[in-house]
Amino acid sequence: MSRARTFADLATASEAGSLTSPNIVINGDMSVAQRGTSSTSTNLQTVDRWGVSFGGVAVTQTQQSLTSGSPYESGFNNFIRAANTSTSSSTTSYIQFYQNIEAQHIANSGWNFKSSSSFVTLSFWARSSLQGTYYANVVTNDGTAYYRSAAFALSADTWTKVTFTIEGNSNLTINDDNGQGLQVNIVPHYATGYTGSNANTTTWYTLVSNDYFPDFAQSWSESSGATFDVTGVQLELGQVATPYKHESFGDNLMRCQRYFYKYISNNIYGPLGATGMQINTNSTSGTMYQGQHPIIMRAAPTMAYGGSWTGEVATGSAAFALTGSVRSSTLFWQSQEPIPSSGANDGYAAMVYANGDDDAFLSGSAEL
Amino acid sequence: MDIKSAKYIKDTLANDGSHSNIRVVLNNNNTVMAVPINTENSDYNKLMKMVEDKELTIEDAD
Repeated sequence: MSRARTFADLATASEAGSLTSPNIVINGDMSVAQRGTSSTSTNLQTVDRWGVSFGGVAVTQTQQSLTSGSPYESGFNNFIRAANTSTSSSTTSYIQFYQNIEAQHIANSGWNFKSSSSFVTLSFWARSSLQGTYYANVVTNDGTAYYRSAAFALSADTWTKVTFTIEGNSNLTINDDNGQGLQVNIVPHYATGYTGSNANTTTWYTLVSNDYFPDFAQSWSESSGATFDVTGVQLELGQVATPYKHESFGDNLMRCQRYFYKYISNNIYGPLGATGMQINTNSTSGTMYQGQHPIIMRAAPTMAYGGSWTGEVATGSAAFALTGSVRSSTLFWQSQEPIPSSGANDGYAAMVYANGDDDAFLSGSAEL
Repeated sequence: MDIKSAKYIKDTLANDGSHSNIRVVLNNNNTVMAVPINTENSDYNKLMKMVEDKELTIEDAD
């Protein structure tokens, strides 16, 4: 690209506001993986905010380190990988990377999504072990679902920067609320049961006859051991893909924690950071613990725990196991746990710590 | 969600018979979830869909 072209694109991007607009996608550099780094299960299991959805094919999803190659030279140190561990010729097999974007983040992005002369641009790095033409799309969630897809070609085992500019459309509905507004999909494979001529790569369309995409020329699901890698995903205002807006790990983590956080004891007697008090009244007899999420969450989260935690009240103790009433709001959680069988009384203060378990965890999930 | 069991939990603070959450035990390492009764929560919506599709029965509260 010539410098004149670069300056022209930068001017266009500046006029559209995209030079200063944030990346609407969260954790596009795949650096945060609170749940873990490897899983054979579908959906959100490893890299935060990124699900790997699949059916009719066995897949291992992993967060991997990047130590060379074009995206590494652009400042990326991690990517998400889907590896095919089966050989499936099923006509209903599929696999996709996806991120569900909160509606108000689209509605307030500056994109006039009702106008065909207003744009957002999706860009990302992709690599597949299998040469071919693949697809990405965005899908609205409010009202009638509308799909806008694009094709991209990959050479085998070669990182490629993909850019996909998306125009608005008067039929789209995206609410200004905390529900799902847009789903971004990057797709290694949809079998023929989910593809066909009712889908296209030039206009917004509604789903007809389960034709989510045009037909795929190659079959990733039939290639055992095939891999597909993604990193550096950015969705921004305007028609130009500007350089990725890198952010600190802490800032990135905080954006992820609006949707999910996981606290691990990391010490066999690690503290949970919850305070409590024993209450001996008729209906609420128990030890009431309260804690705070690290950030205001999208919605009241599901609280979950694993491993072994102990609630200690004076010289007594009882398991902390989310056994009684659990209430959560967007900022706090509260759990009523059993009172110790001895050693404690009404009004005594309480605390929670790991019960000899440095892997004990407590998590909150308000995913879309 | 690979669910071993699911049960409504009575809201003892409300004291009016309402439920505070659904306690879900997963087969995966016996992880325990407390799912709020709230349609903004995607886990709650998934559970309700599983019930509707007759893939899950949620036990009544004690």
